[in-house]
Amino acid sequence: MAAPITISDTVFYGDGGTSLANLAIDDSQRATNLTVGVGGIFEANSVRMLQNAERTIDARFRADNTHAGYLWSYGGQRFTVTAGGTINAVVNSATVLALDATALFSASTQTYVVSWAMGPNPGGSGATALRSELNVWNVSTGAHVKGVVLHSAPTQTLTTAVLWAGTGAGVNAFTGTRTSLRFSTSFHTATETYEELIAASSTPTLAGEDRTHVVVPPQSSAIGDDGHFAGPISALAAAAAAQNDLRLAGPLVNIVARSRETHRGDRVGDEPFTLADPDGSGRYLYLHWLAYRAIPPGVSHVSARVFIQQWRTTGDDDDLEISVYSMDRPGWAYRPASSPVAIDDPHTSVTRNADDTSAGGLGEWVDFDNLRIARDLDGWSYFALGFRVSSPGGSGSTADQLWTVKAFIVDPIFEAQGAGLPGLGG
Amino acid sequence: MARYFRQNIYGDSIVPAPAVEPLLGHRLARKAPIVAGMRAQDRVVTQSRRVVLAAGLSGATSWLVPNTDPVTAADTHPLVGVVRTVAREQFTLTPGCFLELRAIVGLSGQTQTAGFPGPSDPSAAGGADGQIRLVTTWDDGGTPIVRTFTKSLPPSPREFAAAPTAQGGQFTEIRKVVIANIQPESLNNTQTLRRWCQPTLVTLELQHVGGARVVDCVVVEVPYAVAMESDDAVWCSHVYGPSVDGAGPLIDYPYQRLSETTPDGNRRGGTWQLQDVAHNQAERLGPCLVSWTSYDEDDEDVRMTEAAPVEVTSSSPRVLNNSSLGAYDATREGWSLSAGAYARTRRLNDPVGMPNNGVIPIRLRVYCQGTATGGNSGGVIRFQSGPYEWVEATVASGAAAGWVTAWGHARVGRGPGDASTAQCIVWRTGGSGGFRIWAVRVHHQDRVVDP
Repeated sequence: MAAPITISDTVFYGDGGTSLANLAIDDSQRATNLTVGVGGIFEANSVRMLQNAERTIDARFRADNTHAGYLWSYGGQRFTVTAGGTINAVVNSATVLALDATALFSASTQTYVVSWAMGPNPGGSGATALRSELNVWNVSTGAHVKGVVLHSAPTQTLTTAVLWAGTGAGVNAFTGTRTSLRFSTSFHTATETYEELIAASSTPTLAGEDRTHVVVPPQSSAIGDDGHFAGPISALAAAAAAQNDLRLAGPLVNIVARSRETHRGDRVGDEPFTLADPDGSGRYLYLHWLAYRAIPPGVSHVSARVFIQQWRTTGDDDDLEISVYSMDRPGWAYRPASSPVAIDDPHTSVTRNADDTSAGGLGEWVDFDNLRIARDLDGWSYFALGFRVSSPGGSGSTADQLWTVKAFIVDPIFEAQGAGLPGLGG
Repeated sequence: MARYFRQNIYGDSIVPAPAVEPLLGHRLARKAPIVAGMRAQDRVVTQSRRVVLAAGLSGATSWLVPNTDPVTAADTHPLVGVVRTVAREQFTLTPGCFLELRAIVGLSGQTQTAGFPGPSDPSAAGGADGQIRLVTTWDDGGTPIVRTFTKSLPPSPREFAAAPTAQGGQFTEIRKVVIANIQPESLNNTQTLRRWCQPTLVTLELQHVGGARVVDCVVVEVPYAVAMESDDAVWCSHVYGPSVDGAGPLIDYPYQRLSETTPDGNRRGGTWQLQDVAHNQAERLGPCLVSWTSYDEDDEDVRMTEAAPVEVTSSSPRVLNNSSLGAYDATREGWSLSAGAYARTRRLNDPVGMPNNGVIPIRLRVYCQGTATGGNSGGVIRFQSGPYEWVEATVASGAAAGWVTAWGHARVGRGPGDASTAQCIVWRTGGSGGFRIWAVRVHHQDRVVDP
């Protein structure tokens, strides 16, 4: 199980296995235990679980396809399991979603995490005011199902919250093996629930600098009112603005090819569209993938990926060098040989030798080192793909090496310069 | 009487990192560091170069417009003057920004006349005219404005207006064309500008006309100017000065706002405006992630007036761009969402609970129709960004061509380098025919309502 489990919006978390006494112990920041009942645990007049606009309920248990019962009950709001594997979300005493998870359940006892996240539906009102997601994971097998429903807001008033049963007396008690239940006051995505309750991702290696949202308290917090210290707001807002420099920076090139055209090592058929790199490398730019993009001011480099499939029908595999260029002009043809002004055309390359002819015609993602951006006078850049085929030995001609590009990605990054260099980072 | 504040934001400017240390506790409040934070807020929208529409060869290896002479009584070339819609987009505009189109084009090819004079006319050539057209619709919730922008493209001087065939020849003749200042109307009037700094839904239709040969065409946002009225609810900029570096109001000590008079007070310059702008920027500003069109230069018919759609006829899920796939697979080709990580918010990305992953709220828009060649059916378009994260839009059986939309979340990871691959999975529901898809658009959108 991932850790930690309790975060800032957790208002109840009880685990500790099958014992109701352990399950009633609140390990959240509230540290306010529930009361042990018969078959379940409860809290009378539960203010913390009166959440009519937004909440997430996560439950972990072991069960087979005969087990059933209530996971959480609060007046007309219920989160239940029906024998066989149907997970139910009940709002104002009406089932708004009965998620069919029967394929995940069997006669064998397995481990499950079920989650009901509820939050505002943008633009909705009345019967579509809220949006609920139900996610069910069979942790034992990895299988998952998800359901989404729009519904009206609960009209619930203060009452008793019951966990693992329908009443404190144990009516509709859950018959599976209880493990843990978490109640949160905000909407959790499926990704977050999985990270926090099932398995966390390992730390990624980022291509450039990260950005972190700095939360500035809203006006309703009154922290910025007369009579309060004004400093915190100014400091938070300044920090937040600095972290927002890349907020609008989306992918610069994000192409999944409609055409899956085959290219040849001898460029037959591609000649008019291919331009030799004058550096004598044997590399050719391909016009089919030329893209002209505006570069956001705060971006210094790009991170590129290409999805490529390569194969041949005869002979041994050749080396296919794939290059991503950033240029301040659309190719060297614009530069007269006598011009002293050279085109700025940094590029990054990866060489691949593979035979992608297994069933389904695969290929793979190729990731490149960070590429410095060459900007024209308007702050735009031309991105292009280049290819070169060379033989590492073996039979066959480089002319017969084939490939197709299925996707071309260029993402913006800011890469701070190293120590001792003029600072461009903030 | 309305009171307006206007700020010009064209021209490059980075977002500085204002000094936070002078704003920490146990220090006297001074104007300069406080104002620096307000100015930094103003520079955020100036960073937008969002790609709101992208279309072009995208790997295609031959032009729709051939290098040959039109053949009488046969459909061999596009008809002169006939418009071909190649891409459609719909998105919400970043306040203070408008649009610019840039295209890299080859020299235009030959067209064909409609209706052949007869066997005595040996050629049905219509001339090597070409155009790019962008039809824009601007909707702020009032009466939408439709405005069309057109750029003529240079013709090929060769016989039959052919494209170059020599090695590297296409590169030698490509041209750059620009349509700047794509705006709903003249924005000199501050009141008019203010209208279009309110939440605005923009719909685009990119068209080729005649013998156009377009290598790559992109429409991007560029900063222009912000205008707000004193009592507007949503400010995504502080609007401290008349420009990002322009002189601003005198602030002697930290206010909540400069003027308490309502209506038509001056909400700028204080802690409340700092709070509101920070909140609105986190909620309303974010990237455009996916711009996809079904247009395929290689395979379109010369008589097309709309890009050939992808027809979805399978009742089993199929990946839109690779129908041999029946389920999401991050190891296969797809769109990148990694840059979306820059727009993560704390609300959805608890730093303790989820330090190594990221999600953002998104709006999925699909231009589709509930019918196909074989008959009507409904359908589902699932935009999936991770094993457990997707958004589904639906089209009703028999629905006319138009936009359908859905809201949800996307897994974006921590940023470029932490790969985040998205695919569309589609299937028909009911009926016996299928449905058609022309365009898919995904952009950041938090809990706000479309205009």
